[in-house]
Amino acid sequence: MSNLAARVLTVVLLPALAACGTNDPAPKPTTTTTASTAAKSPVNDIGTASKAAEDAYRNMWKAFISASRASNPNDPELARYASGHALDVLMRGLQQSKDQGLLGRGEVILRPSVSGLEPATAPTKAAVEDCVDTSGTAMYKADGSPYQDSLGGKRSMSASLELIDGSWKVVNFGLKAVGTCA
Amino acid sequence: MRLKRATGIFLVFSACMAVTGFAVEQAKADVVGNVDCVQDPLNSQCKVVVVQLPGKTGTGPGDSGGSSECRDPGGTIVPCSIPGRGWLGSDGCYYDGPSSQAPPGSPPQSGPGGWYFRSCSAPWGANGAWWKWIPDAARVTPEQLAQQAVSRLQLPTLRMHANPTPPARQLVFLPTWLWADPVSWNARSATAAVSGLSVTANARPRGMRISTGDGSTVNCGGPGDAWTSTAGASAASPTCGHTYTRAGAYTLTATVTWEVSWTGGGSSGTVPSLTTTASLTLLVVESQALN
Repeated sequence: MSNLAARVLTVVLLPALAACGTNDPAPKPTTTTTASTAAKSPVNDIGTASKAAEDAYRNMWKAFISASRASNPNDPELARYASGHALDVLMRGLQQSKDQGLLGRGEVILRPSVSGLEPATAPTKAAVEDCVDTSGTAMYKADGSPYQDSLGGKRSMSASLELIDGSWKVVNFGLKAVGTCA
Repeated sequence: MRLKRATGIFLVFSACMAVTGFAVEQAKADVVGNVDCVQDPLNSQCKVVVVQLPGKTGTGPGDSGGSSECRDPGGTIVPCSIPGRGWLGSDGCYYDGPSSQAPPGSPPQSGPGGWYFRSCSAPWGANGAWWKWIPDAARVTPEQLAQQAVSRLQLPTLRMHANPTPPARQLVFLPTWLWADPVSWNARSATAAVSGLSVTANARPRGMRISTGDGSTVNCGGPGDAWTSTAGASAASPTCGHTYTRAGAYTLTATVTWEVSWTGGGSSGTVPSLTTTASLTLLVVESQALN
């Protein structure tokens, strides 16, 4: 039944895709309440969950960029939008930067798309794909000493999210090398 | 149309592999240098994305790609290809290409490969559409993955039984029962996978051939029947046995043939069969030598 319903959804809602260049240079991450109300239909359910998952993904990035300003692995915002392995990786990375005396600056540009939600009704898991542009970011030495840096760029990213205690959180992600998407 | 030539090929690409050689003290590229896949190479999300191209020649966009069934990451059945959009990838998005031109602003790529335009079509929202580089060198076919799965098959060790049970001796002209231990006769399977594509190899025991050591060969269809006391001492095995006619020490060799097939990625096939073998030394004596 759910397969059939999802299939119908696929056919009905298959969006006409915008061509290349639909860049969204100014993502507006907003803290939203997650889908806690009973959805009236699977369509609303999917739409709400998709929006909530994407928001959580964007907010994870916002939290990470914010934490990287001070290379603070214990920034409480991180755990609001990341959990499990994803949170471990973020905290470990920030700790590493801290140990190296490095701080981050700049903003990333996101273009996320929710590429999967399951189950089809009342989803609890989501997959997000992105082409993260990090060219506007850099690391620098906290003590002002020179730091040899190389350029950021567009990095392909896959993330998985789960609905945990009513909130979507990134539980795992893979951020690939510069130049893996354009 | 260009994709038709690459029938049955799965494109696999991974950015993580290309940068694993970084020295520890290497300057980080950007603010995410400490959280990217170089730091986390075993993460499943850092592995490959697979694009499934059609499995049949002459199958153009719009066809279902033969008998293969495609599913998005949510498990929903979706078209394997969409005209103008390309072919389904394991991330649930579609990949069109390769493009004859590099997309504007794309970094130069080393080695052969192509740029594919990726677009996502999930009903739950899709605003990301961009180009992805797929190197030729990282292509695998389901057949190659099948070989990997076959190599991972762990067939059970063949353990043979005989009645009379060694070290008890066999008697000339008294039927010897032979059978394989049941644990030696279980179907086995193994899976090899890259992200989004997995192939499972299945091995099933099909027959057992026994070289009895005295010049005879016995073909037992199956594992043979275990002797039980109800069968009596002089009855022959209905399925697998031999009667020695001369005293002596014989080394019996049993060989089980395993039929191996594989399935995955909308394809299936068979590979040459595998075997397991075991030896058993039987001492056959004249009846009057029995104590």
